[in-house]
Amino acid sequence: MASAPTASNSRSGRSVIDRRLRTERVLAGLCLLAALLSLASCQWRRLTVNDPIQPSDVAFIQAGQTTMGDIVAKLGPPDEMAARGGGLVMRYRFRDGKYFKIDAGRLLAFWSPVTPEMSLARGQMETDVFQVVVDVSGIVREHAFAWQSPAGQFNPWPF
Amino acid sequence: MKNTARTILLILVSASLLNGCAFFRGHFGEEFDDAKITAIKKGATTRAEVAAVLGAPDEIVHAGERDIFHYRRFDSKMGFLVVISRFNIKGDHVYVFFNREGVVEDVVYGKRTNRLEFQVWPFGD
Repeated sequence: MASAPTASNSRSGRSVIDRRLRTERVLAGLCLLAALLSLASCQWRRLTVNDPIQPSDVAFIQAGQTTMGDIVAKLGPPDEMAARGGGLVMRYRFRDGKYFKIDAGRLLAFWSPVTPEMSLARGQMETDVFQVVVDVSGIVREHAFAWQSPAGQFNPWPF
Repeated sequence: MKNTARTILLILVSASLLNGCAFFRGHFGEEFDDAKITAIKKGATTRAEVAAVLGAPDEIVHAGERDIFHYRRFDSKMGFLVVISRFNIKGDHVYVFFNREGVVEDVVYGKRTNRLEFQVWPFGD
């Protein structure tokens, strides 16, 4: 008489555990699905133009001493040269741009015939510029970053 | 049975990733021939000879009494995988400096495109 309820209790105990395990698996699957759907609505893009120039890369330049040849040997030929008085302005253009977009509308693409655009995105397209002025004999007179973007982050907030 | 299901799932996941995978390549201008550029001799080669070898320049800069022929070329490579992508662009430039007599005074040349890579991963360096 004593063994019957024990067997019954054991069976029902196992079934409670099985049900709990199944629920946990379903929940884990739903979480994974939600994570994949959220991932599908994001875009990470990176644009690199030439080799980004850091202030440490141009620390060797000394006005009145460094020559155009020294700069070309270290940084390569510039992207632009323009006349300035008797001398030249050398411009190096570069960019390490990060673009991040979240489009909540893409979540509807799985069950809606229309995919509305519901996006938040942020990125920059202009190039940074490092500029060197050399005189007629090819000696550096001035050098500066004409425009240098702050270190980019993947950030979708456009405001 | 379990293994077959796993294999099918793996194939489906791989196929869906390949479906969102793309590689692009773009050029602007012809690749510079090193031999042609090294053939340009300072103090000897003339403006007409440079134009005959390298073609008409993309730009002519007048700097005081000197003229500078500027030749440029760009190469780009892009890797794209579903929600991530990376687009790399590099340019090569040749500058030929001429004196008042139209004879080569200096040549500035360098290649960046030989270091251009296909990349997909947008994070890190």
